[in-house]
Amino acid sequence: MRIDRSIFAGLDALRLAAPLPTSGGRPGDRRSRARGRGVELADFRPYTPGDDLRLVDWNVFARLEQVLVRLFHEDRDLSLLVVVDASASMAFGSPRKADHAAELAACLAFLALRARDRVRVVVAGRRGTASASAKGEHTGALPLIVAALERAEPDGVAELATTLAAEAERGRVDQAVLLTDLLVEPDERVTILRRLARIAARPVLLHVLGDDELSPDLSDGGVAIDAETGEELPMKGGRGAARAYADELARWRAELEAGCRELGILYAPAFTTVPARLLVGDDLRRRQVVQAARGGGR
Amino acid sequence: MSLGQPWALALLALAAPVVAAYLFRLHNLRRPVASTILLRVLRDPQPAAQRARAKLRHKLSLALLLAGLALAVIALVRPTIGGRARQRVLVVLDTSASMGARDHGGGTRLDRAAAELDALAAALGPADQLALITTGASAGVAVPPTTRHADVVLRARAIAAAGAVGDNRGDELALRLADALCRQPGQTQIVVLSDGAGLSLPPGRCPRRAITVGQAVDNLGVSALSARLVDGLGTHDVHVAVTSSATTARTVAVTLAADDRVLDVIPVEVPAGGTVERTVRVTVDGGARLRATLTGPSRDGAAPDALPADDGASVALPDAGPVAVLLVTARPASLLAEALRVHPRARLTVAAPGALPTTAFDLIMLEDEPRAALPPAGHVVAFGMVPAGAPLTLDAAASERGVVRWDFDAAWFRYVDLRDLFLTTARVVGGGRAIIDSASGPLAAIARWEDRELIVTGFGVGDTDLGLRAAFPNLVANFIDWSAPGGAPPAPPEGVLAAAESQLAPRPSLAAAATGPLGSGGFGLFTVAALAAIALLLAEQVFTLTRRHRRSA
Repeated sequence: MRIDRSIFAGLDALRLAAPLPTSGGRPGDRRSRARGRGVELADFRPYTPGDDLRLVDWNVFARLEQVLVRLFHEDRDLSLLVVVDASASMAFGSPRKADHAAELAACLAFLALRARDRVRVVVAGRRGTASASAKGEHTGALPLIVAALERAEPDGVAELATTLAAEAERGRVDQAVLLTDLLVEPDERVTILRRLARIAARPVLLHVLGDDELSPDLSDGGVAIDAETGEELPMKGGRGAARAYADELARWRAELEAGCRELGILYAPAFTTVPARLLVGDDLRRRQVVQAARGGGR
Repeated sequence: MSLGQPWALALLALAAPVVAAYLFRLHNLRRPVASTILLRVLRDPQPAAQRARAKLRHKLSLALLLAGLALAVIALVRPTIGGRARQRVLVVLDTSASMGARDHGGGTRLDRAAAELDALAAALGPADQLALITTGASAGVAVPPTTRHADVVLRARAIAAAGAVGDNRGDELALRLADALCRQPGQTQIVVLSDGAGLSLPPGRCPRRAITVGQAVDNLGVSALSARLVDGLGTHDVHVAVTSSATTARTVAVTLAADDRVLDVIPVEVPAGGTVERTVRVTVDGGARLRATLTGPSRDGAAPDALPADDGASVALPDAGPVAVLLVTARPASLLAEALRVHPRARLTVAAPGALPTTAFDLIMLEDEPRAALPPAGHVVAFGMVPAGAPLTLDAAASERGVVRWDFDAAWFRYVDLRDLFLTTARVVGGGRAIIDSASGPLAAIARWEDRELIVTGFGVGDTDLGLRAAFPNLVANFIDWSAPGGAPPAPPEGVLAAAESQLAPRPSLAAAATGPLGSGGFGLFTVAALAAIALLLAEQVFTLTRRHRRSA
């Protein structure tokens, strides 16, 4: 897959949005559910022997003669999992859906690394998965991720459900972003979405579609051959066929959005008709996948 | 059934890939897609390849293409069903001098052309008509269109045996004649049998084909010969040109002779494929036949000349004939009489002023005033006196006797210089048109006197030093030429071929200048077939594009 290296320019003012407290185990800049050392006061509890005397709230003791210990929200990092579909269907379109998805994944990884979040990128393809994970305080780890994405090429059938199940075994993450065209059978689609919903506190589906799906040339009939399954489908052509396809596409997308909503997955179209940088800086921002990197923002 | 261009049948092989392409297009409009999941709604239970409408559409498209291809093949093959249509072949046979060349030995080009005509006649059907038109210096229909081909061949052989002469002046007329005999351009063809030397093919309405005979051979020939009389004493400027079609430069000698008397031998070096011109001055009597002959090409080790006809040329020098001159003088010794006596054309009669003859003369020259009526004459020149009754007068003596002007361009003064003419005495001439002027007035004038041309000078021959000058015999000779009776126009030279006729390399462009294969031409059935084929192929393209546009819209 190909990634335009200039795509990262202009993304400095953004970072991944984290509307929920993170569950990360490492110190970071994100507010977490954990109580401990931090800046923001979370609660009080009675003193028990062994507590750090520096945490005793002496004002409360003077006023109420009770020894209470202050509890703070701990700042932890955000764990991000990016899964890129590298099945054969992603090789279609101009630009290719796979290249578009790779650029989006690289952008998300760039934003995570800039905010000192942990990121793991997994490419699901015919030959299994290829992954790259990095955690850094700056973008020095980004080349590893970009290289992993560029090594992959769309081919065959991607076992997305299996990949997501394997990632689930590694532990739940704060955010999981799946980049795919999701051109799979309905039951498999449900399985994928369910596993995506389970793997992260905030699952996101970036639906990658290209011209071939959005406005295919159906002026002539013929035999369509599925790039992944090899299925041959005799089909009609002409204006009637184009209308029928448009209706089917709208129905399919509506069904997909409804399924995502039901499972708590944030659905975001990521069509190849919009450049990846514009998608990240505008569309994903409006959908609160990313946000402005203002100082202190959580 | 016969085929005009059987090779064109090979184009039918194109039908196979066309049909194959359509079958492939019909049954294998396969396109890989990312996924068929969204396309299942378009599943066609009866594939397009089997649908009657689709089949009809594709069949119509295929039929249009195949019909176009078939028509194109028919237009190229030109089949004739039920026997060949009657053809008319009009053979234009070049008989110009270059056709007499022998290419590397053997027969002449005209013989070759006759043989070609024989082969052409043999290829014709019995109902086909053949005509023979000759071209060269003149053009004419030797044999009108006939089915008796042998007669045409025999006539051509007879023409070949007679030899080739002249240039190609008749080409245009010959081709016009051929066009006039071309009744049906689709079934008539003009075949030009020529070596191309000097030949031009103007456009015509009938298709033409050229059969070039001859090979590139070396030849030198006299391509121009003319003579111009310089003075009245037989001095001629002779212009001669030699043209070569040899591939190397040649040195030849041009021998000029008049009535077997050699006048000059001019060596010339003729460049390869070029022409050399020379002008020499010779003295020869008028009326003689001047002949220029090339010598040398076969003696200097080079190949023999291919065309002997242009190795010599002759031209008759103009001869205006004798001029009857009457000199009226009372002097026993007269310079004028002597000058007239030595002139080769002057038939001089000297008469005393009182004893004039009565016979007619061409020129009367008066040195003394006649005392009787002048005999009939067209021209009269009076020196220092005016005959009685003449319209001119001799007035007072000229005080200024220097000549300030004379008619430089007049025939009387050719090679006559009157500058510094010394005059002991002179009188001004009155009336007429002055031809010699002094500061005092005209010293000579010309006027029409009844049916005579009269020139009067204000001075006598003895009053001037003119008689001692070289201009004097020229002046006398000019008066003789002026008064000479009108002769026949100069005869054209003989044996002189146009330079193009001596260039014996056959022109490769001759065949290209002709148009159309045998039996082609005209807005015939096959042209219609070809146009229909093009229209059908275009219609098929429009049909396909329109359908696609409608679908995409």
